[in-house]
Formats: sequence, structure tokens, C-alpha cells
Amino acid sequence: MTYQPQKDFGTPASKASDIVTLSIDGRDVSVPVGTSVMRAAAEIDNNIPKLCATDNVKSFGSCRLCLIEIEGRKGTPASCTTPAEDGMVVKTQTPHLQRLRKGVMELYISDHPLDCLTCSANNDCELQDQAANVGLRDVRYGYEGANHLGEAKDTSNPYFDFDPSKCIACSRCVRACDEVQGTFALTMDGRGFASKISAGLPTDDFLSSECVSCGACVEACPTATLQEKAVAEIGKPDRTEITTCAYCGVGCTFRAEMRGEQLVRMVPWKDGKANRGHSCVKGRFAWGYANHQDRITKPMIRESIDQPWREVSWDEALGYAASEIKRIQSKYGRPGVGVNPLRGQNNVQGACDMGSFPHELSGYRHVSDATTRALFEEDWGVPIDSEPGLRIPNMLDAAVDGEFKALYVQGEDILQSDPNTKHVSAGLAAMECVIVHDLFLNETANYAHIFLPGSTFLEKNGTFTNAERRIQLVNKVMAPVNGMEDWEVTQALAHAMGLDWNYSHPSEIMDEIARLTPTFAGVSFARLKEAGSLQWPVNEAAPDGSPIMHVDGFVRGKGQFVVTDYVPTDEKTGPRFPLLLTTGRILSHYNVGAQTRRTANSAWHPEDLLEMHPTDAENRGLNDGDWTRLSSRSGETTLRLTVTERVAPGVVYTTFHHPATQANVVTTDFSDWATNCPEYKVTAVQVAASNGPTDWQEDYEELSEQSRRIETAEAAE
Amino acid sequence: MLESLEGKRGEVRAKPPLPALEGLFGKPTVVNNVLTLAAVPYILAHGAKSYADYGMGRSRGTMPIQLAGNLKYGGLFETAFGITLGELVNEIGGGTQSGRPVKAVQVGGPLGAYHPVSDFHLQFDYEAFTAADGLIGHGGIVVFDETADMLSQAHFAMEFCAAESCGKCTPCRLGSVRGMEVLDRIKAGGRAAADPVESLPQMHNAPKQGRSVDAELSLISDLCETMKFGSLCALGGFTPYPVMSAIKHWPEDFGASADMVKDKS
Amino acid sequence: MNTLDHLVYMTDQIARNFGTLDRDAAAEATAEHILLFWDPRMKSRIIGHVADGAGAGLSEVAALAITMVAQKTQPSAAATEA
Repeated sequence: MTYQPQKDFGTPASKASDIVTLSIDGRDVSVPVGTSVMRAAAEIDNNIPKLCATDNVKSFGSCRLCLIEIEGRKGTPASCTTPAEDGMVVKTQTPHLQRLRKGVMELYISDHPLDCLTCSANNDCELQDQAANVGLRDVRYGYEGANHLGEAKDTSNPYFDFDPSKCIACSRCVRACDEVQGTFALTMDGRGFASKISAGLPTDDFLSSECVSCGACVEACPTATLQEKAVAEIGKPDRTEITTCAYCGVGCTFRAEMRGEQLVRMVPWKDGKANRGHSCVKGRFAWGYANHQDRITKPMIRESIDQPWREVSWDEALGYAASEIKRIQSKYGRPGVGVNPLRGQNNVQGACDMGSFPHELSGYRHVSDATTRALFEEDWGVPIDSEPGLRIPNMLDAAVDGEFKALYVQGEDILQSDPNTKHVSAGLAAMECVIVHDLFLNETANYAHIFLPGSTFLEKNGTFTNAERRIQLVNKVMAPVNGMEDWEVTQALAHAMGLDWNYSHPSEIMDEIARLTPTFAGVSFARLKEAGSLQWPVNEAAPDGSPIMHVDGFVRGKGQFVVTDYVPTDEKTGPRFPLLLTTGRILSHYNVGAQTRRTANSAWHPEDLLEMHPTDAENRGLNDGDWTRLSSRSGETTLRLTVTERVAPGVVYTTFHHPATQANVVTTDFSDWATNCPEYKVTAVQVAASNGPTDWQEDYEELSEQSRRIETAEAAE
Repeated sequence: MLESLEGKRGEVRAKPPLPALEGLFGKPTVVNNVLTLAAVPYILAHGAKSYADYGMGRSRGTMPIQLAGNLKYGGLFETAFGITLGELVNEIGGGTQSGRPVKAVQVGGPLGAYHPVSDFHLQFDYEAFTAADGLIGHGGIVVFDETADMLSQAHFAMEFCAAESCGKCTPCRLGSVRGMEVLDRIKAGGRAAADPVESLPQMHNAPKQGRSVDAELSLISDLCETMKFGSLCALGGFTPYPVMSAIKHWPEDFGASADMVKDKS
Repeated sequence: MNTLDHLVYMTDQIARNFGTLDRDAAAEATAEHILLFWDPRMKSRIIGHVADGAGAGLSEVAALAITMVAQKTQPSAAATEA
């Protein structure tokens, strides 16, 4: 579709139920009470000129462009701050209003750069639009007066620039940071003519300020003052596709704005039901990993993990994978074990819905249920085991015991993310065939024999289900550089194993899911496209989906409250390990950082730091920035210290975004009794000064370097 | 004021909502100035009718008029609405202190209109002054004698607006500064030539000749219209009063052409 | 810890979480969890541990739970075979 900016109604929608009807330029329009006249006009495509109003923040009334005349009332009020009333008669265009609007624009342009044609906002600038709308032909003030044209540009943020010489002091950025994001990083400093936007203290630039780089201000800015660097480099987008972010469980939807196959920027979609026009730094800006130099685009294999990788054709890689899987299955028995997909964080809900647990089929139905098994057996033409399979920690136990032999991992990096790294690497090393299907040679790939290059979310079609059961489409916007969408790779592997899968599009896979899963019965790509998104269950009882479940009762009838004891963790501090380590995440990186470390988000978090309270640091003679050794009963590692009151005394904190940190060498095997979910948040540790990386870290680094050697293919496939 | 009391940046709030409905911290708020509150004891003691019996038309009660400027007897003079401007200046104020003739009287504060002696018949009454393109404001009058330069006074009005501007709305934030600059150019007799930027060949649409005093006065008039009807509050909204009244009544101080003088009346 | 120790630990942990129930109910709930969520090899390993070595390391409830699991899974025309 041709490029159009998203429609902007000027002021937020009213949630009231009472309706008022008013006449605007002779046309009637009915709107809920509390709607501004500006929005009421916009509803009937009467777009009153505006600059300081935008519909995701409250009206401000500062630009004075949107003035109207109301019958029976004196003066020329602003339509953005005037609530629509029943029986109002409004004129938006009169000779008087035209003169006033032209007067306002003449003032704006008297303090603005004049070289529009080479500006990055050319043809994407509301100031330009309004100058055109009012027919401005002459700026009679001339160009010698006081101005802000000499202000320096702030290019500190890796993704967008702030050019105050183009600022029209509309405060949309300040209001977006307040009302949409809630960070309050921006303010208007000074007053009168000296008013200027500031990111904090006079010494702050955008990078040093509290700004979290969500991009709400960039989206709100009507001029080029706050603009994505990509637009300045590439140019204005000319088409858009709606798709869903691949990072966390919120499932923000975006307009992928493109020039041809080149992604220019990701703009949050205003109609996205999960995010409503907002997003975070990751979905908005951190998509450059798709083009990173580390990206692997060709399949690779090797007989043993101490050899370098060999680039091969898809046929050879898939053939090798299939033959290895067959060999191991026939040698060790029990088909069906370990073919439950491991899953990363993206689409956890969707994966669970599809039965990605070792004891379930889709729709949370236990494998012991004969009726459910029969349904699948008939559709798939194979017997389904009635016994559960293994969870990851138990797979690794079995591998160490020599009983678990092969693993196919797609989009997850267990060596970096799972606890007790030594145990994970022992388990992987004990396997005969590890297949990694990913974008990059991640940590798990150090122990892999077959590498299948994957596609990014930009390069494939499918769906993603967010934390509120909302199924949303992921739309391909560019061809996969590895040659196939991920579902096509899986199908190709199935073919190599002799299976007769013939899906031509993921919509067919969804149709199969709908056939086999009662809660998905009404879901299809066509319905998703039409509705924007659907929340399961979607069935006869709820044909348009279910925003809220269990309204009148639970599946079992009444809910059952269960008394439980408090069972403390078995992980205890003591004289040897007196501190408690908890691990977590920060905003700019996503989990193991495989994607975000390969974007400019590293600017905010180039390394994992150990956070420690000043008292604990002082007691150990440690200072901010020191290298420290973090040790537990499981192992030890080295990382840099930051002294902060953000953590309580007795607690230390770090993130697990960088593999060099090896944070999970330190974490324990303890897990939740019911799910075996690892107890990452409680590890007894000690912290002391260090003078360098641990032996483990050095050995691991060497292993990684060795393991990442690639021999490129000599002959073309 | 409400924003400042809430600890925020002192920017004008848009109305609606009216403070009486949604004011300080979002609560219904009544804002009264001291003049209003000072009238309360009298009304309570003597009754509403007694208070209303003072004054004229719709301007009821008394006003403590502040007599200032070039006057023999300056100070506060509380009297009923209805007294004429002339009486205030001559009888009560005693005429100019310098002894030179009165040239202009500014009524209503720094953003009030300048009135010539021909307005001395005007009665101190809200409606009467509005009809004469003026305002009562807070009831202050400042007297100027014949040495006053009305162009400087007009410039001062723009300067005052620029100095006090909160900066939220465009007509006041930018208009006040541009107003000062244009009045400076008028003082210099207009612009003989286009400025260096306008003169560039790349500036295809910009006029290449200068601008006359009449043209600059026309620009001031347009600017004042924008400020009067476009400003968010009375600071920008009232600045046109002193400026346009000065130009209207004393065009010769601005170097306006004879044609312009004729148009202005 | 090695795999067997881990299985013993997990069984005890499950049993501890049913601590508010009486002994038999707790054992039944523990047994049900293991039947539903442990793979056959894990189940036969822990059953073997109780059969051979009297279930060293298992709490009373845990050991009772395993005997219940053994009853359900030992060949006896059970309908849960694949």
C-alpha cells in the first residue's frame, strides 16, 4: 500500500457513553461527551490545522493554529481544548480564521531553517504541511531577527537525533514522555522566547539522561527535530506492513516502514490492541541484528565439536541431520522423545498453547488422554506415546548418564540461559548429535554438530500469541537471507526424514491447529487479518474470541483454594557464601542478548555488572569499577562491580545478557517442585576482589573461539 | 499560577475546564483578587443594595483607582464607577506634574490602551471603555505629557510581553519578540533593502525590495490581530491594546504616511 | 548431584509441598504428579531405587508415593501403555 502516516485525530478518544451531536461547517457529527471539537471534525475527515495536538496525549492548546468560530460565543477558541457540545454550530474556515492561521505560521517560519528540500523530514513534516495549508507566501518579518538556528544537534542516542534548531516548542515530546511512556525525562527549560527542550540537567544529552529510548518523542515530534537516524540515512519510507515484535510477551504490533525490501523504521501501530501505539527500545529500534555480520546464512555441519564448521548445501545438512536422528532413534529406541520443541521467550504463550511441554498436546491436553491422542493419531497418521517426555534439566541429567543422545534446538540458547552452566555443557558434550537452528553461532552451537541458519521475524509469516492470549500475525516484509522461513526449514527436515509434509503457507498449519485444538477452532489467518487479532478461546461459544476467561466459573466449576505451607528454598547462605545473588534483565537487552547485543542497544549495557550495596562493598574493600570474583557452591566467575543503593545490603544482582560473564556458572540446580523452573533468583554467593577472568571463563572463551571457526564451501552447491 | 502552586512549570492552562470546576490539584477553585475580597466587609455591613447603589450601568460599587505617572497628585483614589477620565486626571490628579500638556493616558495597566485627551469624556465603566477599544483592567491610570514618544511606548508593550511570556503559545512567545524587532525597524524608517537572506538567489519567493513604514505598520496590525485573537491568555491577548491605540491616535510618532493616517481613524 | 540423587531430591521436594495434607493424601498427590509429569525412565529408576535399596534418602511420604507409582505402572494390563 502507498505510504500514509497513521491517522491522527488530534486529541484522545472519550470513553463516555452519552452522545452529543454538533454541526461543523454545515455537517452534523455525533461523538461521545468529552470529545474535543478537533476530534469530532477529524471523525468526518475535516482536518483542522494543528501542530501541538496529537491523539495519544492530552490537548495542550499552545500552537494556536486550530482556532475555530462557535456560533453564539465570542472570540476564536482552540478546537483541541473545546469539548464538543450538543447543538454547537462550528465554523472551521472563515476569512478571519485564515488570517490568524497564516499569522501563526508566519511567526513559526520566521524562526526555522529554510532548506526543506535537504531536510530528513521533507514531505514527512507537519510544519511543512501547515505552511502549505494556510497558503504562506511571504515571511514579512525577514530573517535577521532573534532565532534558535544556531543550536547544536544532539546525536548521542544511537537511534535518533535531536536537532533543537528545528524545534517549534510544541511540547509534544515532553507530553509523550510524561503521558505515554511515563519516564518524565524531558522538560521545557527556560521560558518565553528562550524556551527550549531539555533531556534533564543542562549537562545532560539524550544518552546520559533518564531517557529509555522508547521513541515516543520521535513519533510525536511534528518536525525533523526528533527523527530516526535511519530516515536521515535512507530516506522516506514508501510502503508499510503491519507485523508483531519478536521480543517479549507483550506482543507490540508495528508498522514496518520500508523502502522496497529495506526496513527504514518500525513505528508502533496505533491500532495494536496490546500496545496501542507505544513500544520499548527493543521493538522500536533494535532490529538491526538481522543484518549483522555475525549472521549465518548457510547451513553448516561437522563430525565432532572440536572441528571447524563446514558450509554445505541445505540438502546435505538436512540429509545429515535426518540420518543422524534416524541412527540414534534406531540405536537407542523410543521414538517421540525429545521432539517436543524447546522454546525461547518470544511466543511463550503460543508455544505452551501448542503443547510445548513434554506431557501435553496442544490446548493443554495431557498425553495420557486417549481421546485426544486418537484425534492426533488420525490426522497425523502415527502413533502418539501416552507417556510424558523429559523437561530440559532432566534431559541434561539423562545426557550425562548416557541415556539422552540428540537434541534439536530452535531459537533458544540453553548454554547461556540455563542454570549451572557446567552441568549444561557436560550434558551437551555427552550427546552424539546436537542440531542448532538459529540466526547466529550462539553458545549452545559450541557443542553442535549441525547448524541450520534461521530467519528473523521480518523474514517469515506466522503468528505470535502474547501474554493475554492474543494471537497476532507476524508478516514477512523481506525475503529470508538464509533462503527459507523457519517453518520451511522444519518442513525440509521432515522431508529429509521421509515425512510427507506439504504445507505451502503457515495459514495451512494454523488450519490444522484449528482442526485439532477446540480452543482454536475459529482461528484462521483470514480471520486474524480481518479482526487484527483474536484472543482464544475462539469457538462457537465465543466466535469473536474471549477477552476475559472464566467469567461465570472455572473449567472445573468453582475455583478451589488450596492451603500450602511456606517451603523455603534449600539454598542457604552461611559464612562461606553470605550474600544472596539474584539475576535479572534490563530494558535494553533481551534475555541472552543474542539479538540485542548485535544492535546499538549495547550502548546502554555493554557488559553485565555486579550491583552491590555500598556497605557490602566497603566491608570487602571493593570500589565501583573493580573486577570481582563471584563464587557459589556451583562455580565462580569474574565481572565488574557497580556500587549502588539500588540493591539492599546482603543482596547482589547481575544480568545474564553477555556470554563472557558466564553468570549461570554460579546459579544452582534448584528448581520449582511442580515445573522444574530454575531458581535463578536465589544463589548463596561470596564476592571478593579479582585480578582477572577465572580459569573457566578463559577456557570457555578459547572453546568458543575454536568452535566458531568456519570453512567456507569451496564449490557452489 | 495554579500550575506553579502545584510545583510545576508556570505555564498557562487552557480553559475549559474552568478553575471553578477543575482548578488547583483538580479541585473546584475560586480565584479572587484583593480588590474583590476588600469589598466584602462593606457589603456585609451595609448590604448589597448599598454597595450596588454606587456606580453606573453594569459597573457597580467602587474602585480604588491607582493614579500614577506624570501627575501632581498620585496615589489611590477610591470612588464609584462613573467618574470621567478627565475628572480623574485633571481634578483629582491635578494635571501633569511637569505642567506640560497631557499627551496620553494609559488605563488598565501596562497592557491597557493609551487614550488621547479626546477620550476624557469617557466614564470609568467597563462597557464604556471596551466600546472605546480600551479596558478598565485593575483600574490603574498612568499619565504621559507631550514629551512621550508613543513608538517607544508601543515598543515597551511588546518588550513587557516578551519579558513576562511563559512561552507556551506561539503568538506571544514569538510575536512579542518579532513585534519589538518590527517596531525597531519602523523607528529606523522602515527597511530600505531586503535582508541578506532574502537577497539570496535561492530565496526565490522572497521579495527583493525593502519594506516601507506603512508596510511594517500593516505587519504590526496583522501581528496584533494574531496576538489578540490567537493568544492563550491575556498577556499576549492584551498587548495589542497599547500598541494599536498608540498607532491609531499618534501615527505621526511612527512616521506613518498621510494615507495610513487617514485609514487608521 | 548425580541423576539418582536428583530424582530422590525432586520426589522429596514434591512431597514437602503437600505438607498440609495427611500422610496418605500427600503421598497420593505426589504419586499423581510423578505419574503425570515424569518420563518412564525416570519413573522406573526411582521405583528401582525403592525396590533395591529401600529408598535411601526418601522421606516417609515420598517413599509411600513411589510405591503407589510402582503399583500403577508395573505391567498389569494398564491402559496407559503407548
